[in-house]
Amino acid sequence: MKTVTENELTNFLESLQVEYDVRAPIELHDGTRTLGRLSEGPLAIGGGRIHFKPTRPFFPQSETLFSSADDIKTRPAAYPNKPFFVLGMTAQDLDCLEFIDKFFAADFRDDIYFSKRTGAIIAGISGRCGDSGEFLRIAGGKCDLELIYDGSRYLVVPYSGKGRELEKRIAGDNSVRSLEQLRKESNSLPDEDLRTLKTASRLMRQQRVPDAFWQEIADRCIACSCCNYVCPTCTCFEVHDRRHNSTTERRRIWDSCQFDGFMREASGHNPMGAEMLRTRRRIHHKLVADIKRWGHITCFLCGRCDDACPTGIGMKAVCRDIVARFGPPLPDDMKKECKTRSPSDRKKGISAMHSNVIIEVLERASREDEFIVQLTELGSRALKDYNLTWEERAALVSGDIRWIENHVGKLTEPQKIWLNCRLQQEIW
Amino acid sequence: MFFSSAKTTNEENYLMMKLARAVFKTNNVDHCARLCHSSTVLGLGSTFGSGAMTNSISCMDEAEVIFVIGSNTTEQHPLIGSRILNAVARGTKLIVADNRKIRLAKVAALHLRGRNGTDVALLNGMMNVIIREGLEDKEFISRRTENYGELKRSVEKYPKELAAQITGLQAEDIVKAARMFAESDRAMIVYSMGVTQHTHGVDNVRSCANLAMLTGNVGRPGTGVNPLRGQNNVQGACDVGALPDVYSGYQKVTDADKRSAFEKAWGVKGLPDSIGLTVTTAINAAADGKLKALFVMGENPMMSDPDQSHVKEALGKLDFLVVQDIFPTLTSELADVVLPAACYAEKDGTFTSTERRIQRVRKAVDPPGESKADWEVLCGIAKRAGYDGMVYGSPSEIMDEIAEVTPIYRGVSYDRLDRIGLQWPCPASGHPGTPILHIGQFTRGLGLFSPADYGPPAELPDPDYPFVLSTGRCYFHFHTGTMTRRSRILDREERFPYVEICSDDAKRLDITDRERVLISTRRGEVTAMARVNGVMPKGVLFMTFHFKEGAANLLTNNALDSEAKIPEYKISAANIRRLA
Repeated sequence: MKTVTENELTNFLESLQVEYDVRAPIELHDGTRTLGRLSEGPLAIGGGRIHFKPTRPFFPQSETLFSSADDIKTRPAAYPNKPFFVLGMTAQDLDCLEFIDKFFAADFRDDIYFSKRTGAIIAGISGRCGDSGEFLRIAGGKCDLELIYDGSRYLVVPYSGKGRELEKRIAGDNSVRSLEQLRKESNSLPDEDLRTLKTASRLMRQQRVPDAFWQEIADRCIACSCCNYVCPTCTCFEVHDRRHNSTTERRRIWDSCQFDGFMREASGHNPMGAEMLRTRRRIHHKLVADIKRWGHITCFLCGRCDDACPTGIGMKAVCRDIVARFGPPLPDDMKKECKTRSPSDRKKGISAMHSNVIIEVLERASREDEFIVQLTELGSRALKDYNLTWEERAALVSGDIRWIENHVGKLTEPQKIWLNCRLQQEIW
Repeated sequence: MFFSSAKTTNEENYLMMKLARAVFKTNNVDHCARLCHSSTVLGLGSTFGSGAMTNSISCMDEAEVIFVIGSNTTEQHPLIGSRILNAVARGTKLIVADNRKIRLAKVAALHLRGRNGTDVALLNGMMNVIIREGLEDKEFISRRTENYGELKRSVEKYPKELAAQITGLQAEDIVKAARMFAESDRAMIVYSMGVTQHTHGVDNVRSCANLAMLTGNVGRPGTGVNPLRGQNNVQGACDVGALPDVYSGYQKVTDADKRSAFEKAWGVKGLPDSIGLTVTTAINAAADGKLKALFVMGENPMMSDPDQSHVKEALGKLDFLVVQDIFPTLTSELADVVLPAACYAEKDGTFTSTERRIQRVRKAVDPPGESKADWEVLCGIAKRAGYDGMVYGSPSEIMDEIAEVTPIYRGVSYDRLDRIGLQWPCPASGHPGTPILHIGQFTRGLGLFSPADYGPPAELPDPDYPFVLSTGRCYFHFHTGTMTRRSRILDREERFPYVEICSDDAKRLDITDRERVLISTRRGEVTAMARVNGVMPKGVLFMTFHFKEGAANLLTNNALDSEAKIPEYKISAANIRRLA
């Protein structure tokens, strides 16, 4: 394993340009970062994920599928001269890439995609190179090599044969630095987002998220389609022909399920003609429909849609809202618990300390009207200063008296004020 | 006559007006701000001293109350609309005055669905309530403004009952709006074409300014009167003088000192001293045979100006028409000479955003074929006309000249604009720019209360034409569609000209959703697809002007505001029927 400085890395990337079309995070004039060629700006790995779809080299926004002149012969799109070397994918991006590789290979193999993807070298980034030095999860695979930043240098960890070959060509320090500490740090990263995502998925599958909720989200959606255009697992495209002189080009361009025209039929009828249905689909497809098809959720929590959405209804935000408002989930699991545990056992399920915090929240709500307003409007965000698990927060925010009494014991009438308030709001 | 363009850069607009004034010695230069915010330039110019958005976009985050009047913000200024949606989610109260049920109306604390063209009555009614209930900001009025007595006398004539009668609103709603606005510490007005595109557009703008001054909501974060400009560089095109009455920085052509300063800077003599024609009066002059030649840069009057048949006739009478554009348009079809231009990604320059922020645009690719950046074309023309004062190595040098002759841009240079730009006034090279105007003092000194009386629109519905037709834009297209209709996905989203109508009216006329209908006014008739929805109020139709195959501007009325010369796009008497 080697360690390299940013300068050494830049030199290495430049040397690769003979054989590869190198794409890496670079900084543009206005300070934004993008996945670009080295000639377009200085290397800028630090700063976390790049804003755009990181899978763009293989699935660009617009590309020619084939062209045809008046002689009717079709000509396939030009294949790239050199394979890609793409640096800059985070662990989440690599999960996404793994999925779209599977997607584009399924049913019929998408030659255009694989003409770029096959032979490409993927270099992941992780460690302390996130936004403001935030730690990015170590992927530990799913790429040819990974660059793990320890705060001063990059540790180069190869995973594939090609990766090992390239590693040998990097001029860097051969002294072995320990990955142990970085791995530990990576393993201890919070996984609350993942739990929220899974819970939201389960709530949707249990039909516990009503249309009224999606209408509310739809009212905030301005159909900018950024969520789709930055999403590494959004693969929908539109095909159209473009005629120029005597040549017709068939092209594909990214499409967005947030547009009315996405599913509009030639007659004008549209099975997804309401904003509410489109908003629901954006989340539903990845969290519910894809489980049926692929066996797993197809959002890997890269966070781009949350960054890009101007009105704050990206995937994570919507899932948090779902969990806060329609949780606690698991009615079936709870039933199972009820069977296996006695009521006194269940009370032991949460610590005495957490039990006190829950009582503290309920008593504060009985004293402060403003706090009730905050609980109503902000949901679990109003509880950010309390040390509670997501499940406890969800129970409090959704007014689940039964769960709370099961876990902390019988409540007094004043302690029930907020919970009754919440139930009267009839927001399901 | 020279039509400059709100789509091109500041540098190019500056050169267009320099070409008109220094080379062709005419003040006949204008651009499509005439059709959108000329009411603002005049209305806010006369009351505050500066005809631009008083505050910054970020101020939306700080307002307690936002009063959106005549702006479908989430569709036409989506990022500003998003700010408003986010502010409402955090507890900001929103008042929406628009009789269409726009997205913002769904989250508004109060939605006022008054009759089209009755804004002055609404605003006067609100001010009447505010004064009657003692909610005005007395300290602000006495320290910062003048002519309050006149305003008070004027709005006394608009008790809530009368305002309700004119607007068709409930009197209590006018009271509610007045209290909500006046009782908050930071209340902001946001407006757009619904206010400006009327024969009394300037009065509407002045009334907005009056309301803000009356309640002390100017010169602080989270307040202000905020006209949202509708094109990438319509603010900048005005700033650098592509207007018939001012040089760059709103320096009047009628001011002899300014004239001689520009003569000196440009090395010419005899700059014209009378105010030139506007976009709208130029078309009328051409129709009358008084205007012989027209140079159009990046505009499409055939589609954008009111009463298309009149425009066509006018352009047909010209001896010489030049069109400089990036794509062929209905106007270029009539041109004697077409000059192919480069688009924004093919040239360097600056744009000034709605919040007065001057920002860089950078060349990413070479222009195709024979096309050239507009500034290069304009310099070439000046050279061939024998003027050697328009030779520049790059747009950066043009900006240096703009800075030299324009006090509000004096501190601007390319090396200062690299990232987030600068907000004017920026009077010196070390000046950080001005996010909020009129702090402590108005640009004109004291704020001038400018009372206005309600006057009816030029054309009201009657038995022959019983509907009000209002026009505007939709989310997916930009203006005359010359660019967006060439974008596959955007054109797919809105493929056909359509007319919005409420379900009650549609039912009565036996019109169903997506059915083809005929819309007619005294100017002509077009076919479009009916869109029956819950957006429109009874008796009102809405069309967009993006579609040449169903041109809304074949129908609109060429009635102008007497001061701003802006057409009344928002109100024409119209009829609608099934296409048999």
